Amino acid sequence: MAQLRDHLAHAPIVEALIDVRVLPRPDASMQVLHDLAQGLNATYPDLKPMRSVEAHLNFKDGQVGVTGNVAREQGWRVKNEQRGAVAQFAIDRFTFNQLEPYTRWESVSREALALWRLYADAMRPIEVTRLAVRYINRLRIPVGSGLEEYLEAPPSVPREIPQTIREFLSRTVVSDPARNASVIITQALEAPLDQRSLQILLDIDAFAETTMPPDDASIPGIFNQLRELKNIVFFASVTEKTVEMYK
Amino acid sequence: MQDSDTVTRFIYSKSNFSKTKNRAKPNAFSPFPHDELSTAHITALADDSVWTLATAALGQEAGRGAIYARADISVGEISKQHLKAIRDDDPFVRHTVVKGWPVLSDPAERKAQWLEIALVLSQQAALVAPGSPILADRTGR
Amino acid sequence: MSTAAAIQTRHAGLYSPVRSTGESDSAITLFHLVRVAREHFRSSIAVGTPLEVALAELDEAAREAALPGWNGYAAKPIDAAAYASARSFLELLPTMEEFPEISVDGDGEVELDWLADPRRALTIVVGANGRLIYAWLDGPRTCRGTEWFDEGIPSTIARAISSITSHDVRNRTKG
Repeated sequence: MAQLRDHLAHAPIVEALIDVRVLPRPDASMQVLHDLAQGLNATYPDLKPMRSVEAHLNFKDGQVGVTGNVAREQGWRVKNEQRGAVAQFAIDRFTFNQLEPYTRWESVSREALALWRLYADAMRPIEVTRLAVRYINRLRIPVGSGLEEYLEAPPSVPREIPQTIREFLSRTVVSDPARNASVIITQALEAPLDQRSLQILLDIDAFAETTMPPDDASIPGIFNQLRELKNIVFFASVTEKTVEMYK
Repeated sequence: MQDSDTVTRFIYSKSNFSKTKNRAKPNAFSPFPHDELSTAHITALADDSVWTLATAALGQEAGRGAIYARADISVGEISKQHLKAIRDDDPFVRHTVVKGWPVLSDPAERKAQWLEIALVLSQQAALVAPGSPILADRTGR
Repeated sequence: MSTAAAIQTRHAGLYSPVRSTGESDSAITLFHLVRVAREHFRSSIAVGTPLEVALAELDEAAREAALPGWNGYAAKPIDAAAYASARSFLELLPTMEEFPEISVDGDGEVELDWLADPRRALTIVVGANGRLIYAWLDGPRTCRGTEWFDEGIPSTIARAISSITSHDVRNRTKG
């Protein structure tokens, strides 16, 4: 495994998420979410509704007709395009997404906590049910590489069969009783169309299921612990050769 | 018509041009399902006059509720594709039809050739959008 | 030692359709678990949103092209089989690639456009049953052809897309 570090200058992070799931009040209001999102206009000018849409397209005699759309409102999303920062406000959750360019944990968590407090003050949820820190990494490796040069837990193929891997997708959920947390580790191999390299997606989602009030003072500390767990998993999942590429 | 003349293709569908690239898409210059392309001759017309001409193309037919943009192209570029622009003033003054699209029995090869031509024309054309869509007057005037 | 090698003949991304004809409870469970793993990525803005945006654009184009004459030039309405093929094609695109602009052509088939600049562009018309008719503009040269796709993007098409998009920096996470 790679040596644990606190920060990589060119970390292969494509997205960092800080996520809070809540038990909403019965009178939780989409209007309150909208007002909250709109109030951030100065720093997050791009405002969009979040909807799940069921488009009923029917096909008859080879032609398409639209019989109706059912759009279910889920919340509001705001974005600062320049900073790559997104906040999502839904009835039962809050998420802060930091896209590229990633900065540092301190600034990401500070921003996420500030927005969480605005959400909690506005929505006054009954309790927090889940906290998560999730980081998605894209590792670029040369075509023809041995996966074990880059990953500590690559898919293993029995020696007696052909060793060339075209695709893989793995999902492992590990429990960490010491931290009262769990972590979902998802790895996938993907090739861009030019096939000059391969890309490994390494998605580490560290989470803690809780029942605590939304103003509980331990929430920032729990996020820090989840981030530590995420870091341990990341550096345990890759080799020093991988880390050298991103120092 | 001269190579220096300009014709335009009125675009009645939002998805037939790219807002981000400010260019017409190939399907804006595709004659399907016909075998000729309907355009308007706009040489020497001021911009306002072109939009006035555009309203003559609006009607009660399906899909002609609004004009979202137009794509201007020289007859010279059309000629380079071995097509011919012929002004016929029908169904409105300055209407011009672009003929000469390759005739092939294999529908896939015909479509591929027409697509290649439409791609070149669309990327050579200059996209012009009005401040807001030009709407048809539904009272029929 | 396991070697990761990209196979030249098949190009397919993370969301390429997973098909299973298994009938047993185990087969169904496995099918579901694979979907769960892939959906986890799909919930990410960086990895999942480009495809979601493209599929939404396809649906919007389909709604616009639902009726005969929708484009003002007697266009045919969108063909159901072409719509299904286009959806499958978009799901084949690797998640890190540039997704196309999407519309419908006068024949009712789905048009995918990568318009890098006026001298470099690629257009692909997706018809029923995986037929791809394409035209490619690269400087003074043009070329065209017909390909078919099933479980992967044909190499010619993959080369065309990566050639055009290697210089195009339009960011499709603007969803």
